[in-house]
Amino acid sequence: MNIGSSNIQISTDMKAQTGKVMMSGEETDFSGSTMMTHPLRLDAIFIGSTASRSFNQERIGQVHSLFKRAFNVLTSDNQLISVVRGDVGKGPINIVTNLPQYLSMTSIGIRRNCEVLKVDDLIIVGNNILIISTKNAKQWKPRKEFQGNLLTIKKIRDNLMTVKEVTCSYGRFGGLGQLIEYVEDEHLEKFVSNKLNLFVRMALPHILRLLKAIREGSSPDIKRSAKKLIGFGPGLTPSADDVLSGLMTSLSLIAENLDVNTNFVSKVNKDITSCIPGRTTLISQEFLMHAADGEANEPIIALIERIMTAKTNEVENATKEVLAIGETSGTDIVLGILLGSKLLLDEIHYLDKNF
Amino acid sequence: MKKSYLGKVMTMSNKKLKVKREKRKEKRENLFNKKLKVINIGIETFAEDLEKQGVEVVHVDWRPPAGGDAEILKLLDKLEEGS
Amino acid sequence: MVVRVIIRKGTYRDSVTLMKISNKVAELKEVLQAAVVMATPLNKQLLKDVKLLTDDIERAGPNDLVIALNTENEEGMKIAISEVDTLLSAREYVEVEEVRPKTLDSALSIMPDANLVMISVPGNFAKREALRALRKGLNVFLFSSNVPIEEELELKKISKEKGLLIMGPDCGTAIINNIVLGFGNVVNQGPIGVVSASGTGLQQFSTLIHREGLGISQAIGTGGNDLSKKVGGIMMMEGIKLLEQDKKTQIIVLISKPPDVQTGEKILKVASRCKKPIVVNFPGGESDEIKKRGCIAATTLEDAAGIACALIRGKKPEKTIFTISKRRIMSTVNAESSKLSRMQKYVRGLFSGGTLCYEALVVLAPLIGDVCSNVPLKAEYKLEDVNVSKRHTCIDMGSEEFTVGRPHPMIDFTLRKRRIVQEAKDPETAVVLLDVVLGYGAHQNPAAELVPSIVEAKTVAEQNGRFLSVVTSIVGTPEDPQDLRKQQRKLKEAGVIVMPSNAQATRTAALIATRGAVEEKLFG
Repeated sequence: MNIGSSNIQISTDMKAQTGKVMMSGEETDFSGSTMMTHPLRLDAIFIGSTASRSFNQERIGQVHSLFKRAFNVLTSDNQLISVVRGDVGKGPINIVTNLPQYLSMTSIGIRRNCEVLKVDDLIIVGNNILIISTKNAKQWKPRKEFQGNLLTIKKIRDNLMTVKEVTCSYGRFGGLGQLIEYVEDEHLEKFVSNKLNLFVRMALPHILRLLKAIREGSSPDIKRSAKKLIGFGPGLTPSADDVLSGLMTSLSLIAENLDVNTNFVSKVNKDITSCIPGRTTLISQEFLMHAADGEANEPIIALIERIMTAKTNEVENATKEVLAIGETSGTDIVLGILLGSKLLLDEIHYLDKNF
Repeated sequence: MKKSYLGKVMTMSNKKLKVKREKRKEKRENLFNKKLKVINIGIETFAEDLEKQGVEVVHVDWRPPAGGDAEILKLLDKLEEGS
Repeated sequence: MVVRVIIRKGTYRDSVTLMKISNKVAELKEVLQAAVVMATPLNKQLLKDVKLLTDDIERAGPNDLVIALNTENEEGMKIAISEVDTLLSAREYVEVEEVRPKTLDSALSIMPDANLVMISVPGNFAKREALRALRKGLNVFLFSSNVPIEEELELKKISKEKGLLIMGPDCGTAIINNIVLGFGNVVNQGPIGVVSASGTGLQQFSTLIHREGLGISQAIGTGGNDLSKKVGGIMMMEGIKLLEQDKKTQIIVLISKPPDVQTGEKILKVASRCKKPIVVNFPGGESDEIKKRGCIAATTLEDAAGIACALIRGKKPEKTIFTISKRRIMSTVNAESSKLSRMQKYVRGLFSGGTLCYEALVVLAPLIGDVCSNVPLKAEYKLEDVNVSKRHTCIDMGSEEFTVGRPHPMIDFTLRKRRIVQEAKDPETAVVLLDVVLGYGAHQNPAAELVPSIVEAKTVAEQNGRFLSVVTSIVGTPEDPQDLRKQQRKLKEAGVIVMPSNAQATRTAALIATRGAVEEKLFG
């Protein structure tokens, strides 16, 4: 693939000439006229269902934020689209490209506020900095129905145990995910320890109240707890948001597939997301809104599906895939999935009575 | 009766050690049935072919070390082995 | 107590980097407290509670990243801020450098969970790189050739100790987890495991398995020298053990030129203890020894494939002579040989795959007698001048004498094209026998390369009142990057007889050159 090792060569040379890169707060600048005349050409491989809805006009929007493996585009109707490197995976707002592993989205010349246009089947970023061809891209829609037969409740619980064990070994516990070790029903309430990090200590009471509120079907209590969690914690997507995403996605998908009263779950998720505005980052907002509908990036859906339908080693692998997301995001999401799964499994009969 | 998940509660440091040991063990275990993650040193087309097959690969732009000078190379190796 | 914040809008790199920075900064002795969070309302509240809130943070919005630092004094703050700057900007700088890592170590920092290193550097540097990889606990695919045999032995001993795989030196092909390493064809995954000291041998075998509708679990390459006396078959034995443990492998197939006697015994001993059935393709070797050890001997790669498939399917293994009816074969043979002039009587095989050449020699010997070669079965049949064929000849054009300073014949057809025309000019040449190998690493359009020379060669023969017959087989599957059907078609259109396997192509060539005289020997 001839995609611009020449570009990188140029930027390396520029690096040598311009010396040390800029300080924090400013954005690193590789600009040089040579970069501009040779656009980097990539192919879009998968386009998420939400992302493709923003393709109906010529001007899609502007680059909102940049990450190592992705950049986000804010559209005119305030939708976020995420253009990602392959290792990020498929997701409802993702456009998965074939950017090679050794390149970062931050070092190919894209800047915040670059215009993003769509012309025929090309997405053009900035002044010919990046051109993405969507010609052969496949549409990707997160699946709602699990593939494979549902396991017995006992086997599902075994799988949840597997998820917990794998996470205890491979998880990253800088955020709320630290709670995973202690996901045992009765003891969660009584648990107070100075081994827990600051974020966990502050968020724990609200998580417990949220779980209780969901069990009781108390809408005001759900909202009250959610307002104490949304936007809280470390990470580019705040840790508590990741937990809530995992929680809502699992509630939604499991309810859907077990044919439990899905209206109840919809109401819970709606209560939670009604508290979002103004409380968190744009990208986290996107994840939360999608999670409420049971939509998430592929590895997350796959994990929930495997918990409900698959064998131990498949569950192990799926867990590791999710744990690899971000720094603590993966672990936090898994915590949310565990909480959501347990909620539904334990309280199925109970929940049906309410709402 | 509700089942308890993990028998013991591990302290953070124990956990870190366990993770390290397990990760090392994993490397020694079979390559089979795992996701291949490849570092390619030398001919670039091998890396390209792996990418075409959907494998994660990092290509190393290999140059003869020490400019190909055999004497310096020997010294470098001695240093490395000694460290 | 001095609190300062750094606020980043819009370029965040990634969480992992930020966490590293956050941890590193918190470790600085000057720093009392550090926080790296997005400036959401709840996080701002948290920062307030730990006394890290400043006006800047108050003004920041949820999409702004805050790095808040608390140090004892101004001096400490200067150091801390400078450190954060260095870390933030240094990452970017290092990233650009690491865009093209120049060493294994820098590659590992990009991909710390790598599990395989593919090495194709010049032979005199190979040991160094391979050793590095093994010491890091990584498996190795070592394509490099011309590695001294002592170094090969050393590498294999170390890798055996560490329970790692080292495929090579001089290993061109492997299939691990259904991924082709190096050269190789796209085949189905399935229950048949292979350990092979031969690249094209593995390719022929695996493509035939695929055609039969079965598949390969794992194909471990050992490199061409594994079964020599000095190395003693270390990797082949390790491979057998690995495949024995692999749940997805039901049958193990061993492929190699006949090994050194002692090595062969060692390997067969290991094989005899294996719980899974083992098919052994050491063509031209002693099949009695193999049978004694409870393994099944296969004379050709095609036989090995046939036997493996029969075993999986619970059928009786049978030798394959032709997969096409005798009537059709003889009809084709007669059509070709009837056009030969009286003088034409020799087979001239020009191979890109060493094992395919070897197999041809083994198949031809009982049919038309000993064949000259640059790599003959018997020393006395070695060609004086490898560039001039004598009597029946089969040449391995991938051998050293042809490849010094040139790309391998699987990629570069120059020498083979010239030789085809050269053979046509020899009035005693009846049949040119070729192999065409597809797959990763091979030329993207071998037919396009070969056809013009084949046409030229046939024209030369015709102009001199002769007929040149050309027979080939194509090692490939419809899944390969090249278009198999198109390759077949182009060759057939040029008048080439395309046979389903190297063994069958070789037998066909023998039939044509002898005008059917060996029919009885073949069909009995």
